[in-house]
Amino acid sequence: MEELIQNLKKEIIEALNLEGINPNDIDANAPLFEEGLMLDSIDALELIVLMEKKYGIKLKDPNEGKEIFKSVACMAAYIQANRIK
Amino acid sequence: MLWPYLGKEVAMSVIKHWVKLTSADVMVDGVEIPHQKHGADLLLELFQVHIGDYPKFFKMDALCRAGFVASELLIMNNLDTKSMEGESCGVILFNTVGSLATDKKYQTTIDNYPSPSVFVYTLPNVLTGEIAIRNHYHGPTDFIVLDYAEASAVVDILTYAFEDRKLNSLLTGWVECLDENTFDIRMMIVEKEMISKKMLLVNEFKMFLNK
Repeated sequence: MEELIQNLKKEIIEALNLEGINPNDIDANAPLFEEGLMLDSIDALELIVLMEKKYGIKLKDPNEGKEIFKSVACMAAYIQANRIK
Repeated sequence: MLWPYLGKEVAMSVIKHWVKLTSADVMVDGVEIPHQKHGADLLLELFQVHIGDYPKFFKMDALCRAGFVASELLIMNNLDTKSMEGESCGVILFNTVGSLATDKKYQTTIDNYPSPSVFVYTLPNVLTGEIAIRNHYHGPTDFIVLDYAEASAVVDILTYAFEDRKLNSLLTGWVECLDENTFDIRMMIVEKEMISKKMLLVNEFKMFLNK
């Protein structure tokens, strides 16, 4: 799980073009939206694309997103349970 | 350079505040801004040295980064421009290619996984919106694509915009970006009263574009 979290942090930095931020700067349990990385709705779409592209996961219910994208740790847990790739 | 260099200094009598930002040169109101880098790295350098603390910069495409940095340099060093805000201020920008650089980039992604954030920047008026939001300009915002840089057409459009009684100032100019390392920005502040000196404004705009 720790390895998945570390990889996910790197993928988020790359996908969202978070220049100047290192994986170690991201608290795996910190909120991704409004606080923490302060991501916005376009970033949320990029995270959905990332999940499909890297892990083969298609989100069908938009309401699921609120829980899945709560933090990097929540994303990692969802990926581990649902990944196809 | 996207426009020919005329090899002479141009004295501005109507246009008071302007910025020229190309891949290699930065000048605000006639004063050169020192820098080390070129192209995309120049924009990053200017952002880090003069602006900073605005994470949205990193999400912008090349056109938006270049236009945003130019607008910040234009506004930040001047009391007249810093105090501008509200419905009396607007943003009207021009170029010949829209957001072509990002359109091409987006086209390469659509066969596989289209990028939402790249798609957002396939609209050039994202730039006018970013500048308006950042500076609390609530007047009109427009990004107009013309066949070529014709000063009289630009001034006609500005004249029409100033028919809005609430509007007093426009951040306007030419914002050309062919790719992340090739850009040429000529931005200025035009006040409503300048429109009464229309021919002078057209001439200065023409010279400014060729400066």
